[in-house]
Amino acid sequence: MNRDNVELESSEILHDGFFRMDHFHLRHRLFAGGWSPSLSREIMLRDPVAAVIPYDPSNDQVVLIEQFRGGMYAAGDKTPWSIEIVAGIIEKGENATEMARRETFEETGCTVDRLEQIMEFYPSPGGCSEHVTVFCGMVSAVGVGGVHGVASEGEDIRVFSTSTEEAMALVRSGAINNSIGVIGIQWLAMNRDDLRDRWT
Amino acid sequence: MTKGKEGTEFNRNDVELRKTETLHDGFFRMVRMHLCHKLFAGDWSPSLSREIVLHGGVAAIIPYDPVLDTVVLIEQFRGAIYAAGDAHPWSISIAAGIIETGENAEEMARRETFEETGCVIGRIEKALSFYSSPGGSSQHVTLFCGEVSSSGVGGLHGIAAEGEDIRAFTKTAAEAIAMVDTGQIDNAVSIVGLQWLDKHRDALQERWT
Repeated sequence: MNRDNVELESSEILHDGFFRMDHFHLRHRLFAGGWSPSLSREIMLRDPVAAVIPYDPSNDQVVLIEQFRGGMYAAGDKTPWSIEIVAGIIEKGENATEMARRETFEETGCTVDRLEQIMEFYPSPGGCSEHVTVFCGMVSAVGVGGVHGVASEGEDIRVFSTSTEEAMALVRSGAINNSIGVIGIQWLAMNRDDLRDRWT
Repeated sequence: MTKGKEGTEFNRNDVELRKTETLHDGFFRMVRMHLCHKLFAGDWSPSLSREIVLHGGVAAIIPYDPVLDTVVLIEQFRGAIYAAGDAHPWSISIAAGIIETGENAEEMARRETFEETGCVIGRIEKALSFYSSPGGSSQHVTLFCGEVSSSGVGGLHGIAAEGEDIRAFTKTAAEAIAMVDTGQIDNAVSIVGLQWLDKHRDALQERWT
């Protein structure tokens, strides 16, 4: 079924700040035929995100970052700093590829050479419109490290690199526990050999 | 626990929460937190403002039939995908649902799988747990893999009173994993689950058959 099988009856803005939350009233066609009753759905509206797995195929190193995450703090997590791959919001008028290159440089100091789009997904489609385009970007991890990020945006980002095996161990142990990072590292583990063949 | 190999490790005590405002309190609750935290270079950040949607926990389950090497999937309408402007706001996923207060994640995963697919879970193993979108949401997912018999699975499920209209079907594990590559499966819970299954299905078949 497609968009034409949905009827938007009304929507109202519940909150409009850094994020926006709307209340949708809609109905849609049912699998059995006919239409659903009117449904009420609260939806957080977010701009799309581009994410990058910064991968050095010559040295089998993936560049990772660590930063504070308010959502983890709010959840009561004991260690609300998150180990992630690169990601950022795509600004109006910017395309995902440009953003991926710029964000990788800002967050890690790495310049991306080749860049391939590998996947698109919704992190939380039950209540949030956020959409992520994931790339794998070829970088040199030699000498990466230190602290990066745009301080005026409240960013404080620690950079380090690990092998693909070590990154998978961080996923298994739960040290990497955000959807973008888990999906990116598991993808890398499945595709690394092919990537190294093509990129080296 | 040391997260990174350089050994910097902050915890909750390195955060100072100054104020929390409620921005919206309906089906979801949204707050604005004013806080500061320790910086990697030492010292403290300026006061930061962060808008966060507060979610209950989610339990998700990969319903896997080790005998037939199949996965049970569901399809349902998703309002947020519609709001994103997607041409196809019906989403194919594994079973998942919000953990209600007083219920543990495994009980919830069993109940939700039955409600959404009609399958009864046998053995169950925890796979991974993760935050969906920790920049702006507290939503945390506990992902399980559960043993099912997928013979005869199909048809329509879900609680109509909750607005659920769910189509259940089965795919071979290889087909389901391929649906991630083609983009037919494009939600985080299912992608994480099927990537995990790809790595663990041989071991699961040995343990479960």
